[in-house]
Amino acid sequence: MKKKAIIIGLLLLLVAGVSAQSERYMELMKESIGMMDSENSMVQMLQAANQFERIGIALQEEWLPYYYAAYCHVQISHHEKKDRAKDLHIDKAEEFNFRANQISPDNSEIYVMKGFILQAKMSVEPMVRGLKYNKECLDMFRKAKEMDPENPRSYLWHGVNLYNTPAYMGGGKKNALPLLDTALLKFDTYPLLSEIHPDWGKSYADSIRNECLKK
Amino acid sequence: MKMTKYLFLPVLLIWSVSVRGQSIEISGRVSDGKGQPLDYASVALQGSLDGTSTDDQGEYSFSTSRKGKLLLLASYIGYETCIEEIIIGENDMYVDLILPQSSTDILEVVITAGSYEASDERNTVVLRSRDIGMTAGATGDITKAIETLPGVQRVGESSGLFVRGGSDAESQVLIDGMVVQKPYYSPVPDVKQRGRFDPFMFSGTVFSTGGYSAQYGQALSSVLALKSKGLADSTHTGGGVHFYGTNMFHEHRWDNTSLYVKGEYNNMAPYNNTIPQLTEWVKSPENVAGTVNFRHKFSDFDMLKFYVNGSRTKMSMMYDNPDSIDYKSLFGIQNDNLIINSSYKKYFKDETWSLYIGGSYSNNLDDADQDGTDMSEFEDLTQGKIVVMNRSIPGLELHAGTEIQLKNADGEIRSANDMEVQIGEIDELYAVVFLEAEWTIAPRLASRFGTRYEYSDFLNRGNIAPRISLAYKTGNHSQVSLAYGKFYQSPENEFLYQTNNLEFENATHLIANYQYMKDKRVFRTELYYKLYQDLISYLPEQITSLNNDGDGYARGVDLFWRDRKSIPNADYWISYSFLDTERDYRDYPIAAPPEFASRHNLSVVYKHTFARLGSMVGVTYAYSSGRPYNNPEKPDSEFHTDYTKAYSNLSFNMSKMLRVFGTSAVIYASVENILGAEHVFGYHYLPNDAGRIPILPSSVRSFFVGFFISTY
Repeated sequence: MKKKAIIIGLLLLLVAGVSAQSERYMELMKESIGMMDSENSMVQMLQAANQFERIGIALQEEWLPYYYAAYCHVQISHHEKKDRAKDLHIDKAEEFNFRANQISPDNSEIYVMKGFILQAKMSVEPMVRGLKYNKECLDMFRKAKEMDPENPRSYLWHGVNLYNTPAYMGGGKKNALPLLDTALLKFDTYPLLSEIHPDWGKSYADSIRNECLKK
Repeated sequence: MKMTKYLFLPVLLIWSVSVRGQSIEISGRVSDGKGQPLDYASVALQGSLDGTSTDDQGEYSFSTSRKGKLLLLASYIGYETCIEEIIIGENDMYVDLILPQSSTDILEVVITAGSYEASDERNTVVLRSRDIGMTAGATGDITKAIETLPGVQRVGESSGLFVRGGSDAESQVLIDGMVVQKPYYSPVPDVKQRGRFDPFMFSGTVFSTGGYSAQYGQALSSVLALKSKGLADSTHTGGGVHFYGTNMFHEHRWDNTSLYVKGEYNNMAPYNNTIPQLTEWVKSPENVAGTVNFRHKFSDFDMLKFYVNGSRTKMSMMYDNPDSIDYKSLFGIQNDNLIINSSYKKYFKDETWSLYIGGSYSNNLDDADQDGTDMSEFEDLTQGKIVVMNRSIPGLELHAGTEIQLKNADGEIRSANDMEVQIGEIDELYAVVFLEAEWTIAPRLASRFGTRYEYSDFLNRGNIAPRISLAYKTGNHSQVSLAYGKFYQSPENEFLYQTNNLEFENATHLIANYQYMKDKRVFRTELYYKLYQDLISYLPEQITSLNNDGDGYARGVDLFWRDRKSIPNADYWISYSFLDTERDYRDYPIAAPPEFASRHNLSVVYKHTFARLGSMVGVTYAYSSGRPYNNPEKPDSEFHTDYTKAYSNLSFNMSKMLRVFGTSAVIYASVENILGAEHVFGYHYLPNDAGRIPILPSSVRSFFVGFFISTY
């Protein structure tokens, strides 16, 4: 699977060099990623989500725009106050990630995103949804690791899941720490296929690891 | 290499189509149907990368170099996408876009008159399933949790649900559409019995206090429809030890199949010997029970459920019997109960059709002994039900169904000198056809029209019961509902043993309901009027004079408020019901409020969650005004004019989750009636003016402590 991703990535770079059109794609993607990274502004995040959605619909064959659109909607859901609004954004994220998965099946990043979305879903109503979705969520991280054992984000989010799960349910800081350590190691070595490939989560991994070290 | 071509083909196509030249600016405003601007909505020119987001005033503007007939799309979360055809020429354009609210975002109109739903699958419900299992004072008993909802009268000495002036016999319990013949442990004089079912077995509960659908019959007052869970989430094993007994279970999950097996042994002796009892137990209740739950999913569209529960319960006690020589009787009972329930549901053709097939067999043997006289009653029930649903016409959902029940009851008395007397035998074939349409007349107006035809072979009679419900959305968060219905029920076994020359008893319900639901708050109020006709009536001491001349009414108002928002990590609800009811039935000399009806009922349920500690604390306060009792020293004209003292009960419960040996565990503890309020449910009057004996609960306070473990 990784091989395929590399091929697609290389081709992407190759074609980007050749064609002005794909230059525009890269440009738009980079612009959108820049908007998305200004994480404290939800306005920018919404605009980035819209732009990713637009690129996704226009290009049809690219998984990255949909993948990022899903990511944006999860982030927005965390900033919404009402449960119903949260759920609407999470539904949207699910829809986009589903499309990304159709374009690029068996992609480790997309499986991490599936778990990431389920985690957002659980956080809306932890007592009711926790039991219902947690097993599926952990399954997603497990599959993501199988697809690409080097992907640091699967270890990161698995760790975050345990960090958020109370110790009496089998989670806790102690169990989360080794996963976060692994994630941080892999963040340093994970090859970035292109400027627009997923490259997020390292600073979050750092901060959660620090939380885990606190007593 | 070949792949690249295809991969970028659409991209190239899109860009090659665009004509080079002067770019045109497209601008405008995006708003909802009411003219409110939508900020940060997405605007895009279909088939191109051109587009933008609106600003905080809903205004947008972008430029494109494309020309000709194109589609302009605007989308916003919670709204339908707006598609506008535009023709781009040489000049800048101004296009306003209006987005209708998406139908999935408008909280659907649901028929709520008379019903409370607890579900984990839908958001428009008042309760979650876990609310039922975790209510203080309920100790995991579904009925007692339901008693905290408005419309239910608390009756401390009898099992079952007493709803809006109705008796326990007027309530029906169903599991997955199948009638449960004996939902409660067998009645013992003056002692309330628990329900047989574990609340955690169900994912949905609909409790209806009136006006229910044509799918339900043989209930004058209320229906409690329980929906069991689907496939198990995972494989796990667990068990528990508590003050009343112990249990063990194993649940196994395969891909599309799951199996649950549970064994239980309960014995109240250690508890009854520790906690002072008002009831004089000779043998404390002892119970052995087993449950098997099987699920198989043939595909995403069909599921088979199979459930078996068998139990044996024994107990004996001395009870106050005004008819015996020293006013005390030795009463013992052994109960054997078996339920086999299966149901199959399949969806066809894009879920526009569904088929439900249910079948069940249950039997119950009560073998009681009172001072050497043996009384036994055996009942069995075989039922089959088919329901077809169609929703191929938008806005219209049709349900048609048929049901057959074969019921057999046989009561016998054998006196101490071995004289055997048959009290009676009932051989019933009960058949039903029903048709119901759920029709969304307008986006804000939903309706349900149904009729039910029932035929009883034993009574040799049939009836037609119409049911109508309407719901109208008055605002984004509020709605009003109305319901009307006619309900029939066969007389109880004790009367049918005497004669089959009786009519169905019947009740007519009229209900008006208002509901406001926003975020995590719900307010509901309901006004109702219930007319009882053809109730069983007889002359005192002459049960052979049975006739259907009884009648009565019940009217009142129910209030419900639930708030999961105001206090962080807390959830509380308040229920209040006012009831005014009178009946002239059975051996009543005049029309009077029945002994099970209390005028005022109040419940306050409070739960606080400490997520970090994995613990929950709950407090429930219940109040019921006094209930009438018969004072034989008074003349008939003053029948049921004496009232018991009001009932008040403060209960407390707590649970704490732990990690033991690498598995999840829960400690649960509860105390009922902490303050030790005195509860008198009525009086037994002794003959010859020898005074009266109060009817009391089996203990002043009751306690529960349990430890449960599961390899989750």
